[in-house]
Amino acid sequence: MSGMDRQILKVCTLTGALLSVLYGCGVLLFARMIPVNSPLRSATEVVGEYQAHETGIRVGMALVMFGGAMMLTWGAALATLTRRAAPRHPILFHIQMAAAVTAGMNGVMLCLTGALASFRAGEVSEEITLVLNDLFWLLWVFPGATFEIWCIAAGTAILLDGRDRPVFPRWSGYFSLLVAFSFLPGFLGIFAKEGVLAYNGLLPWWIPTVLFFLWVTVMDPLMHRAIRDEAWLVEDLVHSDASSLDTSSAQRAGA
Amino acid sequence: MTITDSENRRAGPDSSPHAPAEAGTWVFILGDLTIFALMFGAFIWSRADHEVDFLAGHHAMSRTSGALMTLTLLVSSLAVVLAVERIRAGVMRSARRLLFLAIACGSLFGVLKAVEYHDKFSHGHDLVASQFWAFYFGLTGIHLAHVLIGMIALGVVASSTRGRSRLAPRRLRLVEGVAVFWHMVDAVWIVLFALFYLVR
Repeated sequence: MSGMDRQILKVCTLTGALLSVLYGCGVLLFARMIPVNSPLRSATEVVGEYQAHETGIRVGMALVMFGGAMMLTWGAALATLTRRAAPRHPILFHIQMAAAVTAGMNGVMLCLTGALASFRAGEVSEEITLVLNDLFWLLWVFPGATFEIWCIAAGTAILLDGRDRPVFPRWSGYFSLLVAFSFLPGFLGIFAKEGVLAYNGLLPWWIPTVLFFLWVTVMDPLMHRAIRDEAWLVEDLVHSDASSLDTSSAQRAGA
Repeated sequence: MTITDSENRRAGPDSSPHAPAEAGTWVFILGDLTIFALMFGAFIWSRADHEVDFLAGHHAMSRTSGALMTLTLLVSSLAVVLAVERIRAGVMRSARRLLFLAIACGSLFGVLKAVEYHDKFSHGHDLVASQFWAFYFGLTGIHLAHVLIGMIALGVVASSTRGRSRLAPRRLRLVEGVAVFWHMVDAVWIVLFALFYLVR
């Protein structure tokens, strides 16, 4: 890996922190959507809130859109580093990339829905704004399977690293699997309008959301450490050079 | 299977006393238990707000069915304990039989749960019927997903013992990790059994 590659990887890793900051500022500070309101609220109440925070919600949604894009760069950095951890299983790299792209697209769709609800709030029928608001939160909790697959692929790659000095500590692999498990109940948000299973409830929203951003926060310094740690890079490069030399020698001998 | 020096260094000497499984496994186990503890807390919290719904729900639960499910998981846990002992002793054929017994018990649990779900649905109790049923299907469904994942992991452990007389220390730690996970699934069920079937 060249110095320039390493710099690009470092920048992409930094986008993990940016992702959390953009989501946090967008949804929490500007749009003021946390704690998530109950699905039981009336259409009039929902419209009233969109009108009361009109500008904040639009700015917030723009920030979330950029945050969603950061999932692509951060996901690419994580996939690249975990590919070092499990070089014999490139499928895990491809799964992570596909999942990161899907998660990023989900983020963009989500903020577009919120922005649209705010854009026409008060001009269109209240029920339309109510449904757009529901769609916004269901896009947040429902597609948990994509995140599950992302975390499982990353966690598996980390745990497959059998070297004495692994790229990532093994506990981070188990932690990734834990985060994957936390996304399991996300789809239940479609079944309930109140309580623990509703889209503002403990199972579909609080646990997966908190754990996902905790995952990004925990993995970020580990990724930085992995980039800084030159030893595994050199060891890996020497190993791969030796393997390619062995292969070509064997091919020549066979020929 | 040869045990490499690097594997020995990583896992430490097998004869020395150690906590089961590798340290990282406990991040997962304790994290998962914390999530379940939060769900149990939410259940108790909601029970106070919807007492009538919850009482009606509790009375619709069959203690016999719950006890039978508990028994199947307890037997499976015992089988896993014995299987790990056999694996440590290098008696792989016997270990595999015990692991298959544990998987069979897990499957029986799944069948009993499916029958119970069908019974509840046929009586009009579904996810949206009340807060009690939302909790029941949500929590037991998540637990059932854990059982299925545990059965797959036990199957992988059983296949990893094929053709080997000994496991490398590192692989043995993974086997212990799967066993700890299975016991956790069992322990979580015992709490679910108490919350849904025993409380009146």
